[in-house]
Amino acid sequence: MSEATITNGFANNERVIVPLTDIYETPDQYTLKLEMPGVTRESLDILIENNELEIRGTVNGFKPENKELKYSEFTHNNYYRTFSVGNDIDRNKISATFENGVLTLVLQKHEAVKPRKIPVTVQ
Amino acid sequence: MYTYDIFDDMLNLRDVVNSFFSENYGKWRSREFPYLEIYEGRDELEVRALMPGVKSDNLDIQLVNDSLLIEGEKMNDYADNPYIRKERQFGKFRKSVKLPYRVDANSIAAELANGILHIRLKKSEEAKPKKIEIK
Repeated sequence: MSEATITNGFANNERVIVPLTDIYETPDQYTLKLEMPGVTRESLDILIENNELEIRGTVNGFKPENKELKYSEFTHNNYYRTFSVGNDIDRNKISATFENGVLTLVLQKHEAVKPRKIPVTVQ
Repeated sequence: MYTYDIFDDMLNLRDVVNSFFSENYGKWRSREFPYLEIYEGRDELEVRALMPGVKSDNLDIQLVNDSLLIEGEKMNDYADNPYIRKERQFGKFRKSVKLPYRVDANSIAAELANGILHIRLKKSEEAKPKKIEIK
């Protein structure tokens, strides 16, 4: 597993982790799965504005009390990632679930762009 | 109002270069999934591992001599849908960590929350310093 890229995503030059993401498509919807271990449901911020889907996750309260860090293979930076979305998405029907450190976003497509079966009648 | 200043960009670049040296990327070279952190307290150790998408049923933790063995499988969590972007990886993993001292095998507590595995290990009585009385 490769480490997520670290970039300057915030305006104040905070270093952030870009969460690893899978995107799948079905005829009716898009599914996004983002790996954000350490984030809680309350510290997640998902915003959709001007064709941009923005996901922020704040990591806090990580260091245990009275214990010293001896060995580390990861950082405690916050998560940030943006995606551009097209007009084929119904913005009122976006659902988000967070389970086991994985955020799942389901973006429903507009009725107009969903595939439709056209019945053929023989006369 | 913001005026573009080329020195801002130059200073940013300097920060990026500096952080390369200060964050010790070198020590991450040999790491494998899952990524770990070890905290040490007076009589207690705490191991934390990043495990997004791993369920507790698919996880096996064992204490072998003075090493902690974490084994498991990260299950694929999607049906065979066509993908647009694929960055996550799935499959079996196995990692062992050598602990700095012997721990009490009966008092190990493990908890999986928000994609992070917490393992608390208590120092065994044998490993604690003992005062020897002089008669």
